[in-house]
Amino acid sequence: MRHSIIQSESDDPSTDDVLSWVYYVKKNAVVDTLFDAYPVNSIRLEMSNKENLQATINDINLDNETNYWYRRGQLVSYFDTVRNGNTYQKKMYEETILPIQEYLNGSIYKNQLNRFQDNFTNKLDMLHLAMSLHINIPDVLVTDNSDDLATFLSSHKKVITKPIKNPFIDYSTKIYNVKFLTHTKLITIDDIPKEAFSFMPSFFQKYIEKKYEIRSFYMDGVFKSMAIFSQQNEKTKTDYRNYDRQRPNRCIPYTLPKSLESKLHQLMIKLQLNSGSFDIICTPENEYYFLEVNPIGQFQWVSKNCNYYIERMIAEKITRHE
Amino acid sequence: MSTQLLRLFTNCRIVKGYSRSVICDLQRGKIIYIPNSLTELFDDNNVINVEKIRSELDNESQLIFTDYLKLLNDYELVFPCSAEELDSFPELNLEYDYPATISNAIIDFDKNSLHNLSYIIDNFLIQTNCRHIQVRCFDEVHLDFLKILLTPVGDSFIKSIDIVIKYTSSISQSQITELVNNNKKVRTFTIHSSPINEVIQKENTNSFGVIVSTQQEITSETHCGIIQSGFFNASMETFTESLKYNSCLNKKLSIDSKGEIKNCPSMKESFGNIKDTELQQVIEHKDFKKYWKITKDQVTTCRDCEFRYVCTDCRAYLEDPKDIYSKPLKCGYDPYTNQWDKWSTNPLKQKVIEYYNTHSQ
Ligand code: SF4
Repeated sequence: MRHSIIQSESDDPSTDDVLSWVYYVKKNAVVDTLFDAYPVNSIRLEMSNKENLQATINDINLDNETNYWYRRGQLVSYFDTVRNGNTYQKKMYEETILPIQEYLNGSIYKNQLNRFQDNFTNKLDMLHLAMSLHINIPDVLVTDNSDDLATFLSSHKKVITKPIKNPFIDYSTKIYNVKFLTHTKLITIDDIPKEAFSFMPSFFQKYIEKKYEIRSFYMDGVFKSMAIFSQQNEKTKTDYRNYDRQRPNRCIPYTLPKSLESKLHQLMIKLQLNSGSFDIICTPENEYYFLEVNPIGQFQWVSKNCNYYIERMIAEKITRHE
Repeated sequence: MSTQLLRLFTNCRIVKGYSRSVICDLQRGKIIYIPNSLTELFDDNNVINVEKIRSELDNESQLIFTDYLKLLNDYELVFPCSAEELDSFPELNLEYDYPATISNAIIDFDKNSLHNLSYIIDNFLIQTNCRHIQVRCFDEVHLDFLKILLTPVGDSFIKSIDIVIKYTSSISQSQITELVNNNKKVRTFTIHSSPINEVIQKENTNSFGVIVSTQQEITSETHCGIIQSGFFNASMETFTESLKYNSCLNKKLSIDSKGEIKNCPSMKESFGNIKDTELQQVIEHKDFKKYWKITKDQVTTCRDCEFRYVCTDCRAYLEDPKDIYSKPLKCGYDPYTNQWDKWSTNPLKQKVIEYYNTHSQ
C-alpha cells in the first residue's frame, strides 16, 4: 500500500487541518510526518532500472510511488555540524553530503506537492518570467543608489519597497532566536538617505492603485481565488497583512479571467511549482498586475473565507495513490 | 456613479423571515436586521440597480431608499460593481463538509457515573475523528477528578474541550485558573450553580481558555435546548450546516451520565451502554442519525424565522412532543410579530413543560 509523507512544522495549524481531512477521506491512510528540523540519522538510496528508486530515511521507506507533501521545515542530516565546521570540513560537506540532501529536497516522487527547493524561488526570476509571458508587472528597480531611487520615485510618484526574498525572517544562533516580519512599505522622499549616497541593494516597485487585491491559491492548474477589498480600509491600503480585527477587509470568492489564468499556469510550469499562492492587483481600470507567487503560501485564509475546502483538495491529492 | 449596481458581498447572506429579514455577515459574524422591503430591492443575483430603482420611486420613498443605502454602506454589505464585472464574483459555495464522522461529543457525569474519558477517547473519538468535546459535571467534583480527566486530552488528537462543573467550595478560583492555563486545549470552563455571575478569565491573547461562573443551575441534561439570541452564530460553518443538516444534532455523539450512548443526552433513545456497546453498532444503528437531516426549513414556525440558519436547533424539547418537526419548546421568539417572550412562563407551553417533567427518566 502507498503511504503519504508530510513534511512540515509541528505547530502549523494548516497541516493539522489537512491531516484531519486525510484521515476522513482515506480512513486507512498511512502517514509519516517529518516535522520541524527533522534529523536524518541514516540515508539509503537505491536506483536500478528494474526496481526504480528505493530510498530509506531513518526507518521510513520511500519509492517513486510515495505521496509527498512538502509544506515547511527542513531535513537536518547528521553531518550538518560539519557544514558549520572549519573551511576544510565545509568543503567536504558541500562535495559529498550536499548533493544527497539536495536530491532528497527535490522532486523525487510522481505525486508530490511542493518541495523544499521551492523555498528558494527567486522573486526577480519570477518577475522576469512573468514579463516574458506578457503578464503585467509593476515597474521594478533594484538599486543601491539614492539618486537613482529619487529619480524612480519622481517618475512613478508612489513607490513601495519589500523584501527581495522571504518577508518572514527566522534567525537562530546558539544564544538567541530572532523572528521578524517585513511588510510592504510605501517609500517617500524622506526615506531616501541623503547623507549616505548608497545603501544595501534593495527592491523597489511602482505602487499600483488598486480596486481590490486578489489572492489565488493554485494547485495543479486549478485556481481558487479571493478578492480582498483592502481599499475600504486605510490601514491595509499598502499591505493587507496589516489586519483590522474589528472590520476585516471584505474577502469574497473571485474568478480570474481565463486568459490570465492560462498565463499564470505557464508561469508555474516554468518555475516548476505545482502549488503556490498568487498576489495580484486589479486596478480601477480593470487591469491585472502580477506581484508575486508564494510557493509555500497560506491557504487557510482563502479557504475559510470562500468556503473552498482547500484542505480537503490537498488531502485528496496527497492520498491519491493509497 | 450613474448606472451604478450594488452587489451584496457574497459572504453576507440575506435570510428572509415572515415579517423582516436579516443579513448574516458570515465574515464578521454579525446579524443585521433589515426590513423585507429592502430585501425585495435585491434581484436574483443579489444586486441592487440603484438608478433603475430611483427612477421608479416617489419622493417619500426616495428618502427611505437613501436610508437603506446608507445602512448597507455603513455595514459594508455591498460594493459598487459594473455589469461586466458581475461574472468575476461567483456565488459563495454553500456546501457543508466536515472532516469527521462525529464532529462534537458531549460526555456527562454525575456522582454515580462510572465511565472514564480515556476509554471514550480511545474507542469512540479517535475512530470517528472527533476533535471537540464537551464534558459536563452535574454534581460537585474534586480537583483530582479534573486533573485525571484532562490527562488523556493533553497528548491526544483532541483539539478542544469545554468543561462545565458544579460550583464547589473545595476548589478555589486560582486552582481552576492554574488548571485551565496548564491545559491549553481547554477552550471554555464554566462553573454552574455558583453564588455569583462572573467572568473569571476573558478571551485573551495567550489563548488560555475562558473561565466563567454562572448562577444558572446545570444539574441535569434537562437544562439544555434554550434558544436565545446570544447563542446565534453567524459563521460560515453554522450557516452552511443549517442549510442541509440539523444545527444541533448533526454529527453529535453523547454519553449521558448513566453511560448511555445517545445522539443527544436529553433524548430518550439510547443506542446501548458504554460498558457493552461497540462504536460500530451505534454508528450503524438506523435511528442514530434520524435527526441529523432535519433542517430548520422543515420545522414549523422556524421555517418562517429570519434566524433559521444561525440558530441552534433542539429536537429534545418540542412544543408538540409528538411531532418531530415541531418548534423547539424553549424558544420564546415569534417570527410573525418579532417579539421575544419568556418561554417558561408562556401559558400555552405549561402543559408541555409538565409533560417533559413527568417523562424524563
Ligand atoms: S423560531 Fe426557530 S429558528 Fe427562530 S429563533 Fe426560535 S428556534 Fe430559532
